Amino acid sequence: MSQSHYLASSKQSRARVFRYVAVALFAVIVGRLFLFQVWHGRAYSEQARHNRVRLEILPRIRGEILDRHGRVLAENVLSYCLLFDPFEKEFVSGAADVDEVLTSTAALGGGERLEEWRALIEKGRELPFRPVQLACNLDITQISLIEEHKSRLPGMRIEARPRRSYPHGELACHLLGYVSEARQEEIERSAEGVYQPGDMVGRSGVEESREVALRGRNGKEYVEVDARGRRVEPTPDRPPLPARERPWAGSDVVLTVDLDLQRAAEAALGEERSGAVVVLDPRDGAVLAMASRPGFDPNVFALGLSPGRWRKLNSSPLHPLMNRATQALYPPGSTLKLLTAAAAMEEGVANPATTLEPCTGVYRFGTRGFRCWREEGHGILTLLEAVEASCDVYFYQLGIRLGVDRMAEYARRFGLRSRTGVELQGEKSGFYPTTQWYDKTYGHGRWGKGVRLNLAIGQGEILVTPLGLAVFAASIANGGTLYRPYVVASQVERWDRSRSARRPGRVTPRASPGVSSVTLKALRQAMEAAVSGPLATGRMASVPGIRVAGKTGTAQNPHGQDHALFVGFAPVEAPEVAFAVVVENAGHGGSVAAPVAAAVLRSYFHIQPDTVAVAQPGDTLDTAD
Amino acid sequence: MLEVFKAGKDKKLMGATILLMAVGLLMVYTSSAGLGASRFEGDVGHYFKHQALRALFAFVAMTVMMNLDYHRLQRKAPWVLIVALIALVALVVPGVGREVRGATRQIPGLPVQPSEFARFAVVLYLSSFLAKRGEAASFKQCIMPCFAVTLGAAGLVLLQPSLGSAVVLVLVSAVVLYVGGARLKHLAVVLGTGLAVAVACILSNPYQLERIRGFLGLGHQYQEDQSLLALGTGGVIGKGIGRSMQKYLFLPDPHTDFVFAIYGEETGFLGCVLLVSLFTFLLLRGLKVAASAPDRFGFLLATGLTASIGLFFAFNVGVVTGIIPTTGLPLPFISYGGSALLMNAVAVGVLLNISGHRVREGVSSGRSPWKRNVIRITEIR
Repeated sequence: MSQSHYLASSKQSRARVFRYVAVALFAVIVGRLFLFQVWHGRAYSEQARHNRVRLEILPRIRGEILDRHGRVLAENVLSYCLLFDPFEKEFVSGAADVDEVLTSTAALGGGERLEEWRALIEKGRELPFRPVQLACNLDITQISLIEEHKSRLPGMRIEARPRRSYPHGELACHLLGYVSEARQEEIERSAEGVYQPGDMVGRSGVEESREVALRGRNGKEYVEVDARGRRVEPTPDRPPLPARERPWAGSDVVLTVDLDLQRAAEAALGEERSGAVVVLDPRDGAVLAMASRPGFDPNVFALGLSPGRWRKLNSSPLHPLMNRATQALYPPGSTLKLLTAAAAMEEGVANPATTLEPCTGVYRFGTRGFRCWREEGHGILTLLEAVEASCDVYFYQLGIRLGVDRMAEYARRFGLRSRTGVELQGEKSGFYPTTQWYDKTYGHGRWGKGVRLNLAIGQGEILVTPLGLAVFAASIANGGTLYRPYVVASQVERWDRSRSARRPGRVTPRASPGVSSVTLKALRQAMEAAVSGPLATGRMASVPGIRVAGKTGTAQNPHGQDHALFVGFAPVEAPEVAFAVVVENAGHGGSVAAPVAAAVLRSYFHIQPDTVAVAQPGDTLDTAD
Repeated sequence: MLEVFKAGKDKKLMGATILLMAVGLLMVYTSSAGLGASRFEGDVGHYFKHQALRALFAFVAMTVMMNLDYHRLQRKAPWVLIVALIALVALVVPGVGREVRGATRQIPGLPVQPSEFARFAVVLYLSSFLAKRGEAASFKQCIMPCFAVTLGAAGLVLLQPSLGSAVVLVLVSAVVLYVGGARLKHLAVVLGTGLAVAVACILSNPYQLERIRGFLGLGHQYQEDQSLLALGTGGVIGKGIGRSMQKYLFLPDPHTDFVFAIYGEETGFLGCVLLVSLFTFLLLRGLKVAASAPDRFGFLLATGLTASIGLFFAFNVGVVTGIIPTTGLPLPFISYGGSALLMNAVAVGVLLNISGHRVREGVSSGRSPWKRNVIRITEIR
């Protein structure tokens, strides 16, 4: 055997150390094994035979959602739930059969849910130790029946668990969102201990956007129980069970919304109609009310929604789950004449006193006649009067002078071609076409020059969300700042509610439209005239004692009756609220949307409805636009 | 016997490995039956079938490595290292890796976890580097590059985050440097830096801190306690294969990190001593292969690969028997999972090849028995 040269080297002797290391490792491990398996072995097996460990989840409490004055919008109530542990000793040892117990429980009540329970338990088996929640909101009869038969129902127990509750039902449902049970893949994907079966997860609105703050953390406790499931003292001489982990309540979330104003906005929209109302504070972008109709009762999700009901809710043609304030796109109609006017003044195409060709009720462009909404025409108008009277013919002429792209540029500056950036999921972006878009869609030169006339009065392909319109109105009101609208004023730790809510840095100017203050002032003047001037189209938005500014809009809807819109702000001298109202398929902005705005403003300024001047019958003509 | 298996001279080493893989398959079957039945609609064999395929694949990989002259690895070492580092970096890039329980350890589509591959690559690189430099262990020329490679790779592993793997990587490198003749002073620098980073990592990560606190008796350590309970319940002779109760309810990860606890419950003290002996035997054989390797590269490589298997074994069994805090490292050849199994089989394959070069008059180093075999077949044709 030839010894290799390197073995002679003294350094190689180092390798020999590892042989001793390996032998020492062997000795240590065998020693430990002897200690546990032979020396303490009996104690362990005694303990394992008689007792077992059960994991009790100590449920967390989800944070509450409050309005800006601390009134509760979403809370938790106790509900009695039926829990079932398919790993109960009797089942493991084969002394009882899971299905038998389920069947006899179903016989006591809830028989129709047997199949559903089987599926739940199949799912629940993946996470041993964790009892499966079979039913919640048990009434006293159900509770006593189960308690009575408990001895024949191993694995079944009743536990009080917190359930999400929305005391005002449908109120602000889209803004609040709803919760439903964590899905299997969420439980698996989340980091350790974030979700357990039966935990609720926020699914939309603030419940979703503030999920991390609201949810808190579950506690857990391993308890030793005997064969009958009773808690026993820990067996001595065996490793102790892990310590109890206490649950952490989620933070409360304080919204910027005012409960009264929200209620007024929803009442003003009415039960039957579809639409949305957004009220903002133009000074910082805080959302004071965000209503969307039709709505849904978020409580039904917390109670557990059957697949059938879910399908019904989700596929309803009225889309009750959609938050129309942020997710619905509407043609803005004449409300966007404000944009055209701003563009015209900024680009030097017109000033507030400019007069153009008189309105005769129709405007000839090429071979086509473009009609004004007022058949008999408006005659000669200045720009301010044209906004006030919402004269189409005047704006056709501005559209021709401005062209598509210059108008689109101002739409971009006012944020109407992007999302507002509110934290709610699924917000849609506004849309304003450009020549490039027309070229791409219809082919170069294959679209008529007439589109700019339609765009100038807010018709055509333009689409906006009610929230986008409200931000637009707010930027006119506040002298040219586009705020990112926000809905959460603060997050408050549970034990900390008394402390003054710190206001997080939510107030973020998104951008400035870069429009001169002279132009904005003229717009404000025109908007006030549009509510209270002699030619006013938005007269029904007026509120006694308050200087209201606004602009009506009636959006042609190819699928049915016109959508009614109204945007504005008040009071004119120092705006505190800016708003946008959209009522679907309801008719004219002036007669349908403006009164909704008036009702919201009356609520905000605490003005009793009985002092409202009743609209004169003769006004109806002018309320059209 | 088939021609391809002649390359592995050390039949005892090969036998021990195959035996361990067989025990592993059996344990994966018994420890995961309950889990498989509940998670995959009554498919008790779910995990077993996966593992059996992986074992087959690993065995083929071992056979291939066994027939591949290890000197060829020496020339490729830098490239292997580069590939490993790229894979590690790719994991850090968001969207490439697959996240499981808060850590990103896999790239979908690759058969091995980058960290497993990196350990092999680092051992290979250090061995070839140190073999070339000889024993002149100046700090700048020799230790610094090794230092950079080791800590760089370990740092990337740490980012996944996988503290246990990073620690083993540093320790394996330290072993190679030690037998490679590094001065103890220099080694202390490597280990000291690694230790400092590890401590900082533990202190900054509440999850790790919790484990350490639990181990020191300041917090709770559910898995460890349950694993000791499982072991203890096994007693002297165990409950019999497949009769573990703990695996059904109490012990998380019964088929991966804590498979040894289930093994202990089912086979008792006797079974455990047998398995530990088998591992110790494998390690001693590995060290013997190293000692009789024909050249310095073979010696270093064999030592490093043996140390890598040994450290995993020590860390895993150490956790299960409550000697060290939970690290989340699998038991070589036994735990469920393809990556570690494949890389360990590759390591043994290389060891076997080195063992075949023991007698210098034997196989000429330029041509492997695999090649001869191929040539012979062509001649017959």
